[in-house]
Amino acid sequence: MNPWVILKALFLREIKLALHRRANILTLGYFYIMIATLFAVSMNGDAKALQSIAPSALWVSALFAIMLSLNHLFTDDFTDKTIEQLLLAPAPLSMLVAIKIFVQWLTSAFPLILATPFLGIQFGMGAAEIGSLLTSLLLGTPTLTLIGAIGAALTLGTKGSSILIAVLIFPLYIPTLIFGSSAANATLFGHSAEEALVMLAALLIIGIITIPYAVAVSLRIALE
Amino acid sequence: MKINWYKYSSPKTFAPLAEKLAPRFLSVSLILFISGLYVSFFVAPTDFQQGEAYRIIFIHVPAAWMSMFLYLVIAFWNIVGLALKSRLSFMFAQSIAPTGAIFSLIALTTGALWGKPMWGTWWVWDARLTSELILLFLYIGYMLLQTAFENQQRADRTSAIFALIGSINIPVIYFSVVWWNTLHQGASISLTHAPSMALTMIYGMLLVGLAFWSYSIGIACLRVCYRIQIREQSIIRLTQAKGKADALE
Amino acid sequence: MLELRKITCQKNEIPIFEGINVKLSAGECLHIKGGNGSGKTSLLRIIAGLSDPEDGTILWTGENIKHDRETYHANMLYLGHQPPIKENLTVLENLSFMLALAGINADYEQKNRALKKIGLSDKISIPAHMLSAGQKTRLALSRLPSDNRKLWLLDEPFNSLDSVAISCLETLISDHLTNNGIVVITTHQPLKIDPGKLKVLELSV
Repeated sequence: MNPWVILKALFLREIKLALHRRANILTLGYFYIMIATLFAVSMNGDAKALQSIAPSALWVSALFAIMLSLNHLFTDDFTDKTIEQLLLAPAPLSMLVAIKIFVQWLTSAFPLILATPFLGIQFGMGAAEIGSLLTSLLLGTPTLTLIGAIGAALTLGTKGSSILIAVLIFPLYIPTLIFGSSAANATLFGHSAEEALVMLAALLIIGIITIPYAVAVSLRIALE
Repeated sequence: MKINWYKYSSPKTFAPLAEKLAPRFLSVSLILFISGLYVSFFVAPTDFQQGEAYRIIFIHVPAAWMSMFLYLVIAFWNIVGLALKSRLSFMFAQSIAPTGAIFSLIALTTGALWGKPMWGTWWVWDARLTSELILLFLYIGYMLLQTAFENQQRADRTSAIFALIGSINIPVIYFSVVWWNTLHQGASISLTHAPSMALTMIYGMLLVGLAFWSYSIGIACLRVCYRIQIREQSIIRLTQAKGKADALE
Repeated sequence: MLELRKITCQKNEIPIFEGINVKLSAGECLHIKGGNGSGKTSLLRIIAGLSDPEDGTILWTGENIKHDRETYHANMLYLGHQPPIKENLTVLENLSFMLALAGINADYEQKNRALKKIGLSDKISIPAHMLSAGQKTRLALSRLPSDNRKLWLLDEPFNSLDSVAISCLETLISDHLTNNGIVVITTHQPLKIDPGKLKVLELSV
């Protein structure tokens, strides 16, 4: 049996379902903008101070936005029981999971990447800075989605799972946040962003190789 | 002495054994702790640079060791539980967790108490303290996850996977925090810059460390007993309810 | 071809059933009966490999199903009693996905015929959330004519179906058995199957 037929079909289905959830995706972008704005307002619009915290504030806002969108990843399939069919498909579950996570990243990172340049300008960031921020987000958000998927799979079906997911994956997010914000803050603090970006890439590669399998195991446990 | 391991792998038979062992471990721990404190306060010399206040490391260092060691023990018992499907292994891991979290908290507080007289701040984001803080969060996540499920088997296995993922991440987290520190603080003060160790200081820390270890075993035994009791009671309750339902038919 | 060996199931440490032994060959149908809470759905999920039994093994053509999941899935179809369909997608999109997930590449004609057989061809482009409960069940069942996997596990498939749909499903099951397939089914309904092919397992509470 050719697993590619199945993987392609799942990818197309996920895209179709995402299009039905267009409003949610835009709300995510709006949420990101909201959190960033809260940072700015709480600093009284002090331009200098804002500039110094801009990359970190935007990174944390992006992290929050991703964390809060994770609930959708498996819950919809769980509620209508289509997830059992995924578990019983004649294809490796880790690959099916990888596709779901990939589409989840596409739909959650997309509004963030779009909104970031505008927020950057609002915070007084220069073009080069916005560039490093975008690169670090591009490399970092997939890892955040991958790690978040573990939280989503482990807490599948529980009440109040949004908060629980956040509590669980928050310690696991630290390395990605450290490297991501270092890269974004590079121009500000005058060191090269390269090393941090390499670390981010390394985390991403390790994540892609190991996490889908862990998520598959967690899903099977969640559906026993 | 040939111990029949299988006999003790059932919660029912393990409980009386644990009840007997607990007080022994706890009393040994008390003796070790008192001797450890004696060595720390009266035998170990005053530090040339840091005066008397440094003595808090006799609690800080063993507590930090224990918090990390216990996390590995928890990971171990969770692996055994997943591989052998034994409920008792999961109970061990879950009974150790609160102690590990407490040691982590002690390490953090003693770290702060040490920092203040030394360098004037209650908290420093150095690599070790930050990693210890994240370890505490991993403990809390592990304990919180167990409360989220009604089905005990799912609670056991889900929290086990989380503990394993946490333990694999600990080196990654430590590495990233060290990297971050060297980037921003360079050759700055580190709270872990322990004074060069006199032999008596090492003895002191070892004694306290062993005391903590013995205490952990003792208190974990008590917790396991308690959990087994609760499990037995709920089985009795459910069987009685089932009996009533059957009788009604 | 399908064997259940000493299957024991527990929920919250209370045994639900113990020591179930069944052997099924090609062309046979197993009807699992029992009152509410007797574990019919649990047993079916164990056979599907979704849950692990407390004790015992499931064997497919002599192999433990845990040893090669994908081969087992390639030969097995499971339908739980909540029809697994996506409300936001149309009837056709749902059917296409269900077949694709089984690795089946059916063309539009085939799908149309399958929907006609189950009585949903006039609803082919309607989003699934507009269907009634019975129609949703029929949508879940619409994959059966095109799905050539040997083992069918059906949990309460007759729920919400009207008499036309019921006889349609019975025909599908009989045809499958005639083609050397195996069916394991839980239902309260009496089954109109050739008694020579029928085995009954009664689970008591």
